Parts: sequence; C-alpha cells; structure tokens
Amino acid sequence: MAIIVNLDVMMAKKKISSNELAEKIGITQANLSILKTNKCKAIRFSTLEKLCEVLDCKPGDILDYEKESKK
Amino acid sequence: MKNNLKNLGLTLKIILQIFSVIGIIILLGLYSITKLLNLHFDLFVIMIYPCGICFLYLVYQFINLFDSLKNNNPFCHENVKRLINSMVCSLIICILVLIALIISMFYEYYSLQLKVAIGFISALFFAISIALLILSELFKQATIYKEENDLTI
Repeated sequence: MAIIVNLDVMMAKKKISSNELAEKIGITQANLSILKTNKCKAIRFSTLEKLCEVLDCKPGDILDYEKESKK
Repeated sequence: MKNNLKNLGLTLKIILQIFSVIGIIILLGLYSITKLLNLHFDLFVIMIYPCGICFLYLVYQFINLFDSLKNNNPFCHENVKRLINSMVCSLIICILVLIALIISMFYEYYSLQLKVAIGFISALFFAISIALLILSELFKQATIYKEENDLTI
C-alpha cells in the first residue's frame, strides 16, 4: 500500500506504550497492532482525530505517502 | 442471531454428512443393487459412478461450507473456492449426463420418457452450476467488503 502509517515513530517520540495509546483512543490492542503493521485498509476520521489529540501531532506526522514501484 | 446461525450450520452439516454416507453406501453397492433389482448394468448405471463421485465431492464442499457457518465465519476466501469447486463439479455432472443422453439417442432400447428425464437432470445441473457461480461471486464481493470493514480502524 502506498500510504504508510508511521505510528511507531510517533509513539517512540512521545514515549507512549501501545497499551496506553489503545486505552486513550478507545480501540483494542489488536486493532492498534493492525494499524501499526500497515495492514489496515482504512482509518476513520474519528480515530485519526483521537490519535492526533493523544499524540499531539498532525495527520501528516502519522501518515505518509510513498509511490509504489510497478512490478 | 449468531446462535441461530450456529445451530443452522450444525444441523445442515449433520444432514449432509448422513446424505454423504448414504451416497457412499449406494455407490459402493451399485452393482449389487442393479443385480437385486434385475436391471442391466448398462451405460446409465456406469455413468452413475463418475456423477456420484462428483456429487459426493460437491456435498463434501457444502459440509465444509456449513462448518464455516457453524464457526460464525461464512465470508472467507475458502468458501469462495468451495463454491467454485462445487460449480465445476456440477458442470462436470451436467456434461456427463449430457454425454449419456447423446449416446442413448442412438439406441431404441431406452424409452423417450427416460431420455426426457435425463435431459431435465442435465439442464437442472447446468442451472445449479450457474447459480453456484453467481453465489461464489456474491461471496467474493461480501468477503472483500467484510475484510475492508474489519480492517477499518
């Protein structure tokens, strides 16, 4: 997928654990893991809003775009 | 609702398992049955063997499908494959029956009623294979939607 979720980097910067983040934004550990491992197909604006609120950042800090090379 | 689905899946699975056991017994004892009923062990009886095997495989696919229904996970890629396999089996049965019908056309021995019945069975299996193809496409779409929904955080 061309969209990359840089949640790991932001979490490390803010020194917040997965457990704590999942609890604060109200999603399960499993869903947070899907988000972190780039397996998710879509992200709700409400989840993104909570992520930005908790991590005190902008959507651009969490999401990145990288052009996919054609096989 | 989930419990109902589970019970339905379990009931259908048990019914199909009973049917498959009866089918295997009939298929194994087909020669004896024809002797017992004083029937000729001819083309139509021989045709039952490949058709029966295909039909048993089709039933086996449906047993697995109802098993996934029992496990509350009917929309998965495996079920799409199972439906496509069932469709292929149904199409093979249709073709085999059609071949038997064409061969029987050259013999006066078989009655017209029997030929019409065989033709009807062939048409029926063709209709079933089309229905299964449509169902597999529907399952494919549903699986994609479910996956997308599951992976939306």
